[in-house]
Formats: sequence, C-alpha cells, structure tokens
Amino acid sequence: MSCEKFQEMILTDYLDRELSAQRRASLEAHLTQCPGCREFAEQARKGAVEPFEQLERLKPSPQLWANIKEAIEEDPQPAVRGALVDFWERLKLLFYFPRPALALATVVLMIVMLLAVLPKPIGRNHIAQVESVAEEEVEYLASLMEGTESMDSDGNGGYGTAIEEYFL
Amino acid sequence: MDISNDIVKRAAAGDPDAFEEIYKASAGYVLNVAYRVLGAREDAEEVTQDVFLIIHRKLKDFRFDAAFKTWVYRITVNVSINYAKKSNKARNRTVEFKEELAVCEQANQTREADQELHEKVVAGLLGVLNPDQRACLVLRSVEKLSYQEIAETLDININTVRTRIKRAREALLAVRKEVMNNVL
Repeated sequence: MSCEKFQEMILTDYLDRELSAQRRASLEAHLTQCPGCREFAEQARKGAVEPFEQLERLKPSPQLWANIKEAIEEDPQPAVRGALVDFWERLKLLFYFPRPALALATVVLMIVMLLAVLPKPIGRNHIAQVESVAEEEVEYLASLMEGTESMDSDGNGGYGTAIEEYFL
Repeated sequence: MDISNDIVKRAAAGDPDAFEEIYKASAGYVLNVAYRVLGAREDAEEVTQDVFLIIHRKLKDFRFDAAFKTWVYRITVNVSINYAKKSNKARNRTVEFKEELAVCEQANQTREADQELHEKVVAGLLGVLNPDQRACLVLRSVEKLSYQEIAETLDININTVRTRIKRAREALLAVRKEVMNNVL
C-alpha cells in the first residue's frame, strides 16, 4: 500500500479508532518504518483531532425550556390533535382538485357530451354504407315484385320461402 | 440519558411531563451539536427551539425503526445545516481566526487558562468547513459517534462519512500549515 493510502487511512479510520485489529497492526508496522507517515499522523492528531477533545459543553438555560414550552402551547399543530388534523387533511385531499385540473376536466366533459349529442359526421365510408343499404333495399323490393308477379291471379302461389314450403 | 419507548409513546399521546423528560434527556446534545455547527450560542438556542417543536409535531410519526437518539440527532443536524445555509451571518471569519490560532500555537498555556481563546480557535476551525463536513466532524469529534452511527444519523453511506471527515481534516491541516508557516 502506498503512503498516500496510508495517510488517507490515518486521517479517518486510524485517528477515529475505526480500523480492524489487523489493519491497525499493518498501519502501525508501516509507521515504524516510514518517518513521513509518522510525522503526518502526529500533525493530523495535533491539528485535526486534539482541538476538539474535551471541549466545554453548553448547558441549556432554564429560559430555553420556557421558550419551547410557550412555543408548543402556541403551536397550531400540537401532537395530540395531530392525528385528527392528519385525518382531515387526507380527507380534503380525496376531494381536492387543483383549479386548472377542475377547469380542464369540465371542458373535456363538455366536449364528450357534445360529441354524444351531435349527429355523426358523414364520411366516405358512411356514404358507401348508405349506398350499399339502398342497393339491398332496391334488390329486396325488386324480388318482392318478382314474387308478386309469380303468384297467380287468385293469390295462389307462394313466396318460395322455406318456411312456406314447411307449412304447405 | 436513554429515553424509553414508553416515554416516547406517552409524549406522542400528548403527555407534557413525558415530553419534558425527552427535553431534559436530549436538550444538551441538541444544543451542543447546533452550537458547534453554527458557532454562536444565540443561533444554537434558536435552532434548539425549532428542533423541539419539530420533535413535538413529529413524535406521532416516529416508528421506532431507528434509535430515538439517532432520530433527534438527524433532526438537529438537518435544522442546523439549513439554518447555516440560510443564515447571512458570515461564519467564515478566517482572517481573525488565523491570528487566534497563531496565538494558540505559540502560547504555552494550559487550556483552562485560555479556554476563551481555544473556543475561538475551534469555532474558526469549524468555520473553514462547509456545513456538511462540519456536521460530520462535530458528530465524530465532539459527540463521539461511530462512522456507522453518523451514517445512520445523516442517512448517508458510511464511505461518504469517511470522505467528508477526510476532506474536513485535510482542510483543517491546510489552514494550520498556513498559519504555522506565517508564525515561523
């Protein structure tokens, strides 16, 4: 391992005692042999660790708790009412639509209703369908005429249908 | 210092005595972390007040997945970092701090004899760092949290903790080197 890697380790895990026993032994063996890394470890401890050791700790003043108590009492979202407030907020969300979304939904609904009410536009396919149906009607009428002509004058004769043959 | 789950549940249900218990057990480290991240007692007290208001509001959401102390540290660090980033107060008072550091390095005094100067140097050293590095270093060097605990508190990878601490210490050593070169 290079001195650079050892020094990275010194700055972090070594100084903070986070190294495994095996790695620590390996690093300490290197320190006995490398004056540069030894010097670096000493400077790092002195410059980056020792200044923060045994720092005086602040004690919270009685006024701080008084302020917090007061702030909690004035808080619009106290913990006890929190569940109720949450429920109300969730309920509102269920029925909440942002204004632009509501407007858009209204417009879409109106368009759908108009399309349903208005007659469908006549396209080429539609004309072809109408023509086809008309031709069928003409053929049907023609066949009826032929059927009438095939009957005899007293009305005997038939339509030539299978059902007629069945009953006759 | 440990806060039982029972106290947390009682406080979440609105018991003011239980919440006061939580305050008494946590206010010290909340105030000190905020103080070291922000560098001024009045800012730290303001942040402490905000932290306990947040704790009070969010207690009902605490699911006991993490240790309560870790959760409180996380809120404290987040509020402190946000405060530091938003604050217009220039924490980076490098020039005057370097003079104090030089005096500290030269003086052969006990820390008790010159606690005030030492506090200024510590505040100056932390002021060199960005808020994320500062929070990591404070949790490690002042609060003595392990890398794993810091990772859980800040919700970051343990290697990110290593990287932040490494860069923070490199920055501190660079400043010290500069000061020492000027002194000698």
